[in-house]
Amino acid sequence: MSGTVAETGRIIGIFFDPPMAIARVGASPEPMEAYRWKVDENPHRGVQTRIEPAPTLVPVPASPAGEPPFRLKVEMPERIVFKDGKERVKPVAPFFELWARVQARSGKVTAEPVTPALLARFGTRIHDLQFIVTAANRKAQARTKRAADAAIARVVFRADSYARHMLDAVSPHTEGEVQLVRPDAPLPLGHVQTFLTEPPEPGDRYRLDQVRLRFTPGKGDSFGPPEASEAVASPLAPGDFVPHVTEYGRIHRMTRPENRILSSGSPWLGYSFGADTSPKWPTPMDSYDGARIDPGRSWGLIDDTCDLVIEARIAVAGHLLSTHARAFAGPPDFAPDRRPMYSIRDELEDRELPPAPVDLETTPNEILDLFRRVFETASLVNLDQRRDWALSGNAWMHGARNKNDPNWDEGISPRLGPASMRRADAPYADLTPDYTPGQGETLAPASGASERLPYTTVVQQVHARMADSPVLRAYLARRPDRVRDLVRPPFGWVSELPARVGVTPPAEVPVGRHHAEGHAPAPRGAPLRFRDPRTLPDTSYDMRMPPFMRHSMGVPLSVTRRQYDLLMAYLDKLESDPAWRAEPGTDEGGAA
Amino acid sequence: MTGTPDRKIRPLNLSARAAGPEMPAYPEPVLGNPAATLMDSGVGNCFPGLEFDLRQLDVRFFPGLVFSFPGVTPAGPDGTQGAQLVYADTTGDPVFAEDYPWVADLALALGGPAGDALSDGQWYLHAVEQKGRRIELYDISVWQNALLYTPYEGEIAWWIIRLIERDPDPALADLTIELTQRDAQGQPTGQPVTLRGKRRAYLDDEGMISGVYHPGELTASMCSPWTHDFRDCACQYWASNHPDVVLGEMDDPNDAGSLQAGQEPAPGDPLQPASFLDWMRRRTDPARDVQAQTTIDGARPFRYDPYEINLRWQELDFVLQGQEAKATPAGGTLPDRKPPETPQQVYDDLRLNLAPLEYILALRYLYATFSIRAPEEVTPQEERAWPGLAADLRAARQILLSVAISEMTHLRWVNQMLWSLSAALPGELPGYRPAVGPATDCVDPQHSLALERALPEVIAEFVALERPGGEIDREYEDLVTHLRGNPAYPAGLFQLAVRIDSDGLAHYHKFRDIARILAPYEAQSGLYLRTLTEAPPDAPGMPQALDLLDAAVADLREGYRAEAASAGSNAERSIAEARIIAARDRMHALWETGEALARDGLGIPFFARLPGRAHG
Repeated sequence: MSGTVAETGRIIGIFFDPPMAIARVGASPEPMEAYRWKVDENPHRGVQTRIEPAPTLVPVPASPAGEPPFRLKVEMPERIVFKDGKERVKPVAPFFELWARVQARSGKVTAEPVTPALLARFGTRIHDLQFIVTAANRKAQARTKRAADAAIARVVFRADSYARHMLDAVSPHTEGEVQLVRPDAPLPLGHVQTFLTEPPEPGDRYRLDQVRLRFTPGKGDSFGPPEASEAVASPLAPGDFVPHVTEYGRIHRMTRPENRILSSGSPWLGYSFGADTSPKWPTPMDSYDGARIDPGRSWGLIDDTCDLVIEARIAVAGHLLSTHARAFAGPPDFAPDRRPMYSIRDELEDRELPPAPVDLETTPNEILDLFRRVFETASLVNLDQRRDWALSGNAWMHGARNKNDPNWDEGISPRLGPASMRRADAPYADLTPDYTPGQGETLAPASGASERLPYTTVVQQVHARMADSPVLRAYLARRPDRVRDLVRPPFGWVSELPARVGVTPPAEVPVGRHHAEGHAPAPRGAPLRFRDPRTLPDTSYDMRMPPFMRHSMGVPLSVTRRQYDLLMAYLDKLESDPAWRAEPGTDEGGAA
Repeated sequence: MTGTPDRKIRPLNLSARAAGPEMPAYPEPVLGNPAATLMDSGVGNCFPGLEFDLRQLDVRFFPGLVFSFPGVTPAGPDGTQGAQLVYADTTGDPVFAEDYPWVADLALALGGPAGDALSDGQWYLHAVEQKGRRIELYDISVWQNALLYTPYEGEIAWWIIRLIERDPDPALADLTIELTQRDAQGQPTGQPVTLRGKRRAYLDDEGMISGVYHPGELTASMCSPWTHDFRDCACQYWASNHPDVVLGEMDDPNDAGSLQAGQEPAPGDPLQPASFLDWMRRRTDPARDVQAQTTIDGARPFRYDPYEINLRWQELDFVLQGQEAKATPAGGTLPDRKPPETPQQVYDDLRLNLAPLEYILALRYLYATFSIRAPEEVTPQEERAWPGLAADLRAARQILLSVAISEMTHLRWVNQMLWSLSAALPGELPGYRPAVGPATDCVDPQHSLALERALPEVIAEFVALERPGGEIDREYEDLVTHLRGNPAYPAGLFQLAVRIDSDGLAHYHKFRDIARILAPYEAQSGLYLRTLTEAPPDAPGMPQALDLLDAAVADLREGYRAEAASAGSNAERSIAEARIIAARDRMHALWETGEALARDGLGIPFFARLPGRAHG
């Protein structure tokens, strides 16, 4: 029975937690168990991130028939097994919890799980809660610019409709248009499902009375028209194109027979980015199967990934409350204990948040976390390949006649050719030449069958240390100017770039802005400046950190502006303020 | 339930998180979700990305307008590249529900003459202006007394837009954009349309990407199928989810495995875990267990082909702590040991045992490095008879030298532990004094001072020294236990001991690798070893070499002393920086000197000047 507003307060909104989640494809019917990141505490392995099993929600049928509805029970797996017994990858299928924002008579707002009891308190019920889920794959549409090449699924159901709601997508069309995906052979983008709630029992560690929705993505399969059965594959490296020579390369199947369900009449089959000279979006333009062999005609393939919006709607006391969440179906995270140093979160924070506060309580940990993630990414990078690729590209961009000539970039600093990361690349190169004295100024390292990717080995060794707080803090404090030189500055904001390229340089990095009052820094040479995406020097690859890696739109990668500003501020503090150099837990530190 | 989420904090602003001093916390997924569902697990730099393409946010950077960013085809620019207006439409855009004067003005403009103009023909973003800086999206040059405008390609145009700031005040309209049409030569033409507004907030109040983006829009620009990108992209920038290189599968990748119990790796995996494997290698290829190549072209034949990957991607291995693995380990416990009990015991062990040991090992390993012939000393005849000899020598020297340098770094960390302990327990422990080299008048007899060539038995001794479960390993393991368990110590101090201990495991693998690399030449040591003998300290060149070593040691001592004092003094910080750089310069000189002498068969008697030791 519902109470009055005076007794129960009121619901002023509902929301999902998480508001956005990544699902990851896999063909196994068993979803991936839950796991969390945790620091490894074993002295033999170093301080690094590991994953450990976490409480996992397992659907169990409510009746002996084994059919929906399902309820959820919590299990703690002993270990995380990534593939099932048939070697199929387990998909990551995220749950979304539904919450309500409840305002008490005092005005205080609290978040409460949406449960049958909560809804009853406010005069409504689970049956009145509606979900609308819209999922789409618009990859073909993005190239052909034709809505009939999109694949869209939309399901509407009540929260107590516990069956699997299949996200079977079809192409919208108008009369006479050929649909890429026909209703009789829809594209399976996965499914969504809700679960029977369980009344809480005293002593329960987990609340299973909350409304949850789960998105299970597709299998990660490719789909195409009947023509997309098998074809000759380019034997060249990524980014290279093979002339139209059909006997060239090996022949492979590209789709399963049962997945050749798309229409042959769509222009997506046979689309070519080079068919005319007009500029194309999205870029890279050659990002579809078929693009690698001249004339770059598409085999008409799409996949069962998508992004989707989940909407929850319920009317309470005459007001319609609604909220949304998003999910993205992407590839598996094949290295689940290695985190990106430049994550989606970092990119969103960089776009949305003001600069991070410089605070002795928080900044050291934030920078330490960044360097741990740098190590985690760096530990899986083939830096030897990256270096060769990037320096070869530099030679092309700069018009060098011989990319192997160690002197083609004479006078440029940091070096862009074979001398990059070698002793001649002073003052940037330092440790790498120490560790690799047998290497000369070459693009690819001298490396026989027994050699161990020399540049890759060094980057792992060096960054493993930087993941340790005492080592990192001591190094940053001891060599602040070296770190300033070594970390590639990000591009400046619009207001920091010159109106005309080359007339004036971009703004200086404000080195010393966070120095302690009265600190007199040692003089620096040329000022450190933000980069300009319009200039050749600032879009050439060099050994500054992160070395030789690629950013959005194919330019050299830097950390985000927000990360960079915080790192520069931390260096200022470490350089000028003894309190920041003191170890936490000691009298000088105070951070503990 | 996963606690009570506060939308004002989550999902952003978690940056202030901390599990404790020196220990950043990890973001936690909600109940039932793996960490791989978090935005922290996805890559944020996109060309076009893995999970979704964040560049798509900028397609709608200006409320009411939708852009695309075409790049040029191989045929070159045709004047239509850059930031093209796709359409102008305020319908369904949540910004226009906001109650700010600039929103009303913009709605009026787009619903009136500006909107009318933009609906006719193809328009382009011409310029953006923020904080008084106006940037035109053109490369501008002078040509026959006129300005020639060459539109930036989509990539640069996108970056300019990405670099527009979002002021936190939603009422502040701080962005002006201009749109123009272009003539057949790509030159801006006609009357521009100028709009004033603000860069869109991409996240709503709930932490979700704005509802203005339709389902499917954020993944529309990604590869089709996704496996195309996974195999075919030249970027290789997402190693955290899509490794470039890995170590092969071991029984127990995370922890507590047989190696750590001091057992040998299983036979049949001689390369494990010293060699990198190409993660994208075709699993059925005989070359699947050959080390990764140094160039993309070199690696290409061994990787999955285009199309093949579409049906084979599930053969790719998951990777834990850099090694291919089927699952997380089932658990396991470390041997129960009795760590040192008092700070004084720890202090004494660091000062009298471990600091001298690290110094001695660094020089013993350096001496052994000098004993291996440089690749350029291999004659063409030798290389013909022993293919790969020069490369093997280079590899062995490189690995051995890296261990020697690593030991010098350990010496520094032992000193850092000493000064940290002294500072933490000033009444209980003596003040810090640098410990570089043996600290007492005589060297611990357990520390061998033998300077020997890299003969098989010597490498075997090095393997034994660094062996997991060996004496050094156990010493550091005990140290970790002691430091971690004592709240009187600085919170992160134990990490130094962890690092040294984990390096020891790496050294062990590296020495085993050296043994394997040099094994084919065992019967003819002259092929890989110089005729190096330890020279008397007064032999030509030796006093100068030993002076260099002494000077480097003096610089290290002074540098460490200054660094220990730098917690209270900026002047000492500067001294520490200068002296440690000087020490490194001297070690570089010592390397060059040692190499020159070694080519003549002369080994530097590194320990000749140790107190109480006569050369013998």
